[in-house]
Amino acid sequence: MEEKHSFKLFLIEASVGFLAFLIILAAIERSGAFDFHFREHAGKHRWIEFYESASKNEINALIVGNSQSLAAVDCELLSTHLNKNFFSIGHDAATISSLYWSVRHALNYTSPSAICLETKCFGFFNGLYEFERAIQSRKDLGFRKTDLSVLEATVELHGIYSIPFTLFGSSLSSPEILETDPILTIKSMEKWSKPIQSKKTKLGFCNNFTESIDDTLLARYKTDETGRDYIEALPTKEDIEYMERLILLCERKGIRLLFFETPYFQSDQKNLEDRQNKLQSFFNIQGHDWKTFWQNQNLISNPDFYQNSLYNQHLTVKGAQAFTLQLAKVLKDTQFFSDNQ
Amino acid sequence: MGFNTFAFWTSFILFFVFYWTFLNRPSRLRFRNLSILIASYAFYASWDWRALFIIAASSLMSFGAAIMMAQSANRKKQWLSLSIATNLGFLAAFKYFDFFIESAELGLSLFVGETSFARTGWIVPVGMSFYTFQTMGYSIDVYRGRFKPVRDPVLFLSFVAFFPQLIAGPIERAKVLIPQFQKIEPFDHRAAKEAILLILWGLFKKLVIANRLAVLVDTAYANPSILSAETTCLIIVGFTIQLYCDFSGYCDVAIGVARLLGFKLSQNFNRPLLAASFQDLWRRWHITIHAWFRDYLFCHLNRKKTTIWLFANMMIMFGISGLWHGASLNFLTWGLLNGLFLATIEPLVCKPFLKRKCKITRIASTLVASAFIYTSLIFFRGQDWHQSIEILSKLSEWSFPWTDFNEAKKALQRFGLGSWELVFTAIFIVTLLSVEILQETRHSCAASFWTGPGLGRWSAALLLMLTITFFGFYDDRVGLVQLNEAGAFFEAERAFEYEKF
Repeated sequence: MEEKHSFKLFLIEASVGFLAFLIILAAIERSGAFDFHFREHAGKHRWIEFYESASKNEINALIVGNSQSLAAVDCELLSTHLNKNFFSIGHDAATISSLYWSVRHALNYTSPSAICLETKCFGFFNGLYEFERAIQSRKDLGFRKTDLSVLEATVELHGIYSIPFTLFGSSLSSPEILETDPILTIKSMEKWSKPIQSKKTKLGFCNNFTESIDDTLLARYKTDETGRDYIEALPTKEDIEYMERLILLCERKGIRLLFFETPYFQSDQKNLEDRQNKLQSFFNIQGHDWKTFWQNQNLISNPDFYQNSLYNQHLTVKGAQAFTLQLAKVLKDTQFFSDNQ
Repeated sequence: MGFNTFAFWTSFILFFVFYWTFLNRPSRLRFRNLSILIASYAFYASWDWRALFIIAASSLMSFGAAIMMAQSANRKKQWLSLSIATNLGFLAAFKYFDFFIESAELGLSLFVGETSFARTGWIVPVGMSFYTFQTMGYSIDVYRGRFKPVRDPVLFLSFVAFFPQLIAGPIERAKVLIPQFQKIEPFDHRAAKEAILLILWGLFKKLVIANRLAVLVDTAYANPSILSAETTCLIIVGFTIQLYCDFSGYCDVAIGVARLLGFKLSQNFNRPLLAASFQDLWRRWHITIHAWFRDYLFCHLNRKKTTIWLFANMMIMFGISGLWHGASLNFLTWGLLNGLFLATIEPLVCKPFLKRKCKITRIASTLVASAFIYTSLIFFRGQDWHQSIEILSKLSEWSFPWTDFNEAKKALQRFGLGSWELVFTAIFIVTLLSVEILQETRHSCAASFWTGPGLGRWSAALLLMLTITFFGFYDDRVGLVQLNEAGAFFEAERAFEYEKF
């Protein structure tokens, strides 16, 4: 009997000790005395940066899209050229539905005058995520866990069963959820020191691709081994529903909305011309302005762009700079920020 | 699933509670051993389930041979030979076959030109060198009549595969570990608390010090061209501390985990960084393997007490010890160099120093021994002979760039750690050395670290947990043994350096 008590006593002592450790850890996390997000090579996550910029009222316009748009728009360069503060939000493998929730969440913290929505998320489907819907929800939403909209979005996007995964899931993709959860801090410790280069951001711009596509990869693209098939270029019914909700949201808040598409690597995609034509007529019918940079002569003739433009479907830093200058030109030419608009 | 993963600790806590709640009754001894066996095999299978067949075959062979040795006294030697041949056969096939082929090709190329033989391309199953030596030790003990053969197969399989020490030791003797499987000890509250501290100390050494130093060392060994003599010296010392913290950290965790289950494993390290001489170092570093070589190999070799025979036997023992660590010319060189140091520098320099029995000469002897041993580790860490020689040659390129503090900072930052990380590295190494010096001098502080009043232990445990959380490097590094293009038999991620042996 004595040993049993001794074991129970040990369990109690160890549990109390662990609880004390958790309390200290939570206190340190909450006080911000130790910044978990800057450990090792992990850069600043764009949502953390977004909350900081939004709290200082520094955001005039949002760039919204998937990882290709995050890598394509150099917000610092764009801000300098247009004299407005841009910030890019969005996430890998974005869909228009998840972007709607991202924008809706962002608008709780900031009031931009314009939103530029990148449209490569239209017609995008990744079968992998169908099997990981619950995991996807926390990947999609870099929301603060204290914000109830995370629950609303999770339920709407992925069903009620995904809530536990969002609340208690891994924090690897969204390190900001660590801020309220010491258990997750411990759980994700194994991965902390891995360099998370893509999370190094500057006004949401995250691009660390300095080397262009290599010859082997290029050859593979040319033989159509990889390359995203955009044969179903038109937005799905669900895409249109969320687009309309987004347009309504922007109208209600008095925000101008522009749709645009970042450049493609010619050998990378199939049916590009078909996609461009279909999207153009779709936006014409909808009555919205859509800017595409496919076969943009200024880019095609710019050595910075055509010699060193793309890494695995994403623009390189040089390519992004060249593209951003063209985007700035278009926004200037269309007087997107003028009061007449 | 190494000791530094969340999955291991979650599984272990569940097993620990189950173990002491349901299995700690004498009537459930067999069930307890069976549970340990299942847990151990599950742990081993988390690396590669195919390796289970090898460990099971090796264990059953030794188990059966030992029983046969006891039953037929006139065929004892044959059964021992069969058991050892089987175990060494596995080791030779998986670990040494390709090395022997390469060596043969190299030898033949001197006489008959270039030749090429087929290779297996197999990768050594994790922990194979450790459990093979444990089973061979058991067979030899039974043969010599020092230990009665075990009749319970579950008990024996558990002894070989006991998960705390399966991957990287300590290599246990049958007389130490098997009796612990034959009885159930009551839960020891005090021992369990000490075990927790030992585990935390081990994780601190591994995650905070070894993994941090690994960044410096890995960068340097991947880019020898950026080294100067000064940085090479730092990297040599850095790798020694990394290796020590990596391996002793693992052993501390292993001993602590076993202690939580009521088992007492042997000490494998006894503050080797403070060793006064070569001989002293080998008594303190990887104690169980060197004791194994001494008892089962050196004593057997050392029949003629002449100086030449002693020297030859010493070189054979260190050569084999080097090859035990890895099948390459580098490990062999490292082993032979250490044998040479022990045979020459020890009697010529260290012993005269130590005879004077004063602190300064002891420190001088420590420094001399450390300089040689640490430098020899270049062969231990180097990818191949050429890289090791290249790094060794860097010791002649003194450029004295560190007259300026900023220059020194710049030179060091090229090795992958920022200024603050370098400062933290220095602080943690000083902490480690301070604790070890206090332990060495048997200071009362050191004793209270393990066995002192509750508040002191609690504070120490919390401090260690927070330090590990905030300053640990958790990256899963892939071990040095990589997949072979010819088709690997086993693939494994190995977070601890010694897991690769």
